[in-house]
Amino acid sequence: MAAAAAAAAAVGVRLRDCCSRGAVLLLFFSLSPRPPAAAAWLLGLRPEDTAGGRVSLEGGTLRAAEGTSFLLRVYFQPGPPATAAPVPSPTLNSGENGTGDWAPRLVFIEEPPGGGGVAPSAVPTRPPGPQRCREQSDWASDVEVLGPLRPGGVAGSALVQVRVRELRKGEAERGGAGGGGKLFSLCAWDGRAWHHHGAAGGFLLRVRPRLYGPGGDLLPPAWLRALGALLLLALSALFSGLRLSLLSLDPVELRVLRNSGSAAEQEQARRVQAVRGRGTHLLCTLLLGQAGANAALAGWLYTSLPPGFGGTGEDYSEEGIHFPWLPALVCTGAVFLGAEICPYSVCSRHGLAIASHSVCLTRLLMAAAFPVCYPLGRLLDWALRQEISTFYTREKLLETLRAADPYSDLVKEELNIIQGALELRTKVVEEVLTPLGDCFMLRSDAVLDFATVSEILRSGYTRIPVYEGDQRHNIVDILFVKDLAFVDPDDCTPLLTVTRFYNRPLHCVFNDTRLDTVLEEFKKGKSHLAIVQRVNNEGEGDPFYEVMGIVTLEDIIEEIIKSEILDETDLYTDNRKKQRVPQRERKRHDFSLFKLSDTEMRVKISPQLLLATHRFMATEVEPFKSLYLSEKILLRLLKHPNVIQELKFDEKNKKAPEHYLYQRNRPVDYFVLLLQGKVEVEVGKEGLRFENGAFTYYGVPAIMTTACSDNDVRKVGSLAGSSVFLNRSPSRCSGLNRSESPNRERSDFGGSNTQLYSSSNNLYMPDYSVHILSDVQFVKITRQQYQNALTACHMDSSPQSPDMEAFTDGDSTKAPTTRGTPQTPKDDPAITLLNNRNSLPCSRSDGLRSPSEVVYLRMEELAFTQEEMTDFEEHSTQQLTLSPAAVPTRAASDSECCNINLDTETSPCSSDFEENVGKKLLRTLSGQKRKRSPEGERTSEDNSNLTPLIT
Amino acid sequence: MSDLRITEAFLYMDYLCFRALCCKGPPPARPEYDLVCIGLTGSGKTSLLSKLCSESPDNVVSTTGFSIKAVPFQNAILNVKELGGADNIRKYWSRYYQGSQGVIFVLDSASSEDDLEAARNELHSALQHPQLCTLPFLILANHQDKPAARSVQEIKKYFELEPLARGKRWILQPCSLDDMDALKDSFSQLINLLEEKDHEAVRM
Repeated sequence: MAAAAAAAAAVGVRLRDCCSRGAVLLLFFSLSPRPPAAAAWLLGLRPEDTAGGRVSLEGGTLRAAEGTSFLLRVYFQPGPPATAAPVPSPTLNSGENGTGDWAPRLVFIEEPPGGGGVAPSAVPTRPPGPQRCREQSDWASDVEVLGPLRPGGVAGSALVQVRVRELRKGEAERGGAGGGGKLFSLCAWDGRAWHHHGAAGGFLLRVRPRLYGPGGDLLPPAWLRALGALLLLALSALFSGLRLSLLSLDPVELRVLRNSGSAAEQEQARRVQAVRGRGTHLLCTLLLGQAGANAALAGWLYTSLPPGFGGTGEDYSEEGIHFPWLPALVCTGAVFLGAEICPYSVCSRHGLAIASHSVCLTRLLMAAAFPVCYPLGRLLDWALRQEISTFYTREKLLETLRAADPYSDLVKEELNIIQGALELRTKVVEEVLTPLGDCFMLRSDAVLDFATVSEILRSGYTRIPVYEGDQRHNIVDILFVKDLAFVDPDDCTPLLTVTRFYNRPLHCVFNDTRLDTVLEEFKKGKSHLAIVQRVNNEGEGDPFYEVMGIVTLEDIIEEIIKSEILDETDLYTDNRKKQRVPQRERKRHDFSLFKLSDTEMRVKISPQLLLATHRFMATEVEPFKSLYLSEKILLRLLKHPNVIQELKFDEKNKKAPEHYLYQRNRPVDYFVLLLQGKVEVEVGKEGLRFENGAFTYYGVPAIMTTACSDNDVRKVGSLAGSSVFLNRSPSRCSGLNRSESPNRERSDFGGSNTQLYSSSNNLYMPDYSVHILSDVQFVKITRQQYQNALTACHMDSSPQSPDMEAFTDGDSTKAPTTRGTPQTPKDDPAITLLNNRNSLPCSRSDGLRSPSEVVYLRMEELAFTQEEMTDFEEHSTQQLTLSPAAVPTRAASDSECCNINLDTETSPCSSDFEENVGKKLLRTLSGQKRKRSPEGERTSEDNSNLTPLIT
Repeated sequence: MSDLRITEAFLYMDYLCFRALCCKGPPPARPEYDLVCIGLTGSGKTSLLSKLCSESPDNVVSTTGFSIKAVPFQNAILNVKELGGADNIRKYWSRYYQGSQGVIFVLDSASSEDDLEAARNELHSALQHPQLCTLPFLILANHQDKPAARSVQEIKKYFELEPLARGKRWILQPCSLDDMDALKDSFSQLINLLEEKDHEAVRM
């Protein structure tokens, strides 16, 4: 300092005094710890503007970023104490200010980076400031003071332009402790001497390294920065990908894959499972890594990119801190595309493979993050109690299946069954039971007769609850239909006997029992029908068990498969909705039709007998065949209250008139079919007697006459005639077996033509008597009833009606032979012959309307011929007179001979003939109608054989 | 009232905590048995059970449905399902047998001959019921304090218990409402029988 003062003194003579005083002051200041600024003319400085925040005044130090140029306002003492001093700048002129002998100027010199500027103690180790100020080589080239001091408008201050150059490479790094950068101190030349301004008074200038700027050599080059950003991005993507691939596989799925995947998948799943086991730890690790990578990327981008759109480093005119749009956008885009979308698209498809191949890396990461993530994972585990993963409840599983419907190959039924099975646990018996009111039940005191059993069969149920007393809810037993196997309805066994014997255990469940429980019980072999009861504790009094209904295994299985099970006997599809089973194609075997109620019939016969009677009449008795009378109508007819009758036999009065069902020569209008008991038939004048039993019938013509005209009457008459013929051989009759009995019965219509002729057309006069020998039951159908039945049949418009018409009014048409002839070509002449011979008014073929009737009538024809023959025998002379003249007497004698043979039953011809007739009758009656034409031919042959005899 | 109950609950909780802390868990649970109690009307089923539960046997009305009482004993808890004994309910008894482990049959020793006959029939049908026939029976001859009461021997003879219940576990005990000791004694015998049966089941 003293040297400086001396130099100043040497330079300027005029300012000696001043200088000496300044030297004294300098000396003083150099001795004192305070900075020597007080001795200088310069008082202080401040930046005129902040140059966009790059220049600031902090803690007495001027700070400026590199590459900044700014205006500095300098304060100085307006006037030096010495009058001679021309120093003040207002008086300055540029002419005097050459290199500057005396013109005031400012120079920055570099301070040592040790921070000497801040700590004055360091100053002595260096050459003192004023010395360095003088040496131009020390002047800092980095901080330039451009131009002279300009007047600042206010006395005592001036403006100077300062430009801070960019720091050289490496300088920023060793920029000292005071916040980095280089430190400069100010030297001021007042025209006479250099003054060095140190730390105090704000004369230090710290140049900060600029953080950003075009071509800033402080930052790594662009490619390096891009590489770093990419690296961070890749890291982020890796974490994201691992997270997606590892955590999208929840343990359940992993187990599924391990057990049911392909071989490669199984291996991969096995490897991943080890890592995936510690789910929370893994999750924490990956999330931490991803968060770190993302944050680092954002920071990196922020430092690498200019904050704004147009920010090139020069245009820093905006004020304040502004939001770094560009880095934010770039970072967002990069993370979104690179670290989320890409991993997602890859890992969603190859998640398992990626996860399994990066198991080592994952383990490494987990190990690295162990100190942080393990405790955190345990904490999460503890807090959540469950791993964070998707888990399936029953409903979720169901919903998953349902939602996957279009994509999976599950059929709707399968889905239904799965659904039903899953819902089984959630349902209680109450929801599926059949209410008691809808149950088919039996009273315990019921009798297992035909009516009850047929009712049971009709219901279609196999297990039937049995209740006691009048209250249906008092179920005491279960009847199995199987138990009825050995029960004969005719025995009328009491139900109690059966149920007691089998003693089926009652199985009760409560209404809130779950279906799976009930199913379990059903499976164990308990009864498959359970009675549902509930505890009724409503109202007054103690609680009690109340029966609500029944539930069966079928109900539960129906719940499982979610559809109705129907068996061949079910009446309802749904017991709760009471939907009827849609029409059955199969005919229902409804035997209850044969059930008889006491109110309907006065005479009680068993349903079986009724069934048999019905069958017999419908197939064997001509007028009641289904051809004429539908089975339904026949049944109705049979069920008519007066049709089935009973007659008691009085032992004492055997010949009482009431014992006679038919009496000879007494007109009747009814048909009788014997069902039970014995009758004695007395035929003809001879009074032939024989006994007949069940299923013999009498008086067919009696009801036929009503419907038929003369021809039919005759026909019937001839029919009767045939029977007379058969009656002539009682031994044969008795020898006939059961199947032939109808033939035998025909014997009983016996009636002679003469009787018919003599009687009125409408009444049938039997030529036999029938009286009973024991108690009998019989079917008695009057002409009127039969007529009604026929009408009813007509009204039913059944397909038989045309035949019926043919049958009923066969007389209306008079073109009979046309149809009859072709079928029996040879027959007709013989018949006509016979007819003519008998002087019968019309041909035999009258009334032929249907093939079946042909048979019927042909039978009659046969009978007719027989009748003729018998007539020959009886009224040979009469017939001879009646017969046309063309009939030769020889023929007559021949026929007579034949008849005689017949009578004696020794002639081979007659026996043969009779056999033929018998067979034929049998065949026709047993329904062999197809053989009609050959038979017809044979008949005609027979006839033709006969005719020569006759003619 | 409710406060009191809450206090009780808390006390019990405290007790439980205490037990859990000091004695390592609650005491072993007493076994529970489900019994069904039948008998004619007026034989005193409800009264006996009320007495056993230390309730007042007064104002007992005849049971019309069923009522379940948990009767605590030293070594077991008996859940007794008591059925009404009126004529019209008796036929429903069998409905309630399901799940029973033992039967208590109460009869009135001092009843009329007719009633005794009815009781005998009921007992016999119960003894033969498929759900009860294997269970231990406790037959209580109640109302022994009445002057007209028959002795146990008489009853045993009348009811033909010896031949009928051979091979079954049954106890016939005289009792009355006043004689609680006899009652408890008979019940402890029943509990023994039930335990035996339990053990057998375990051994099986």
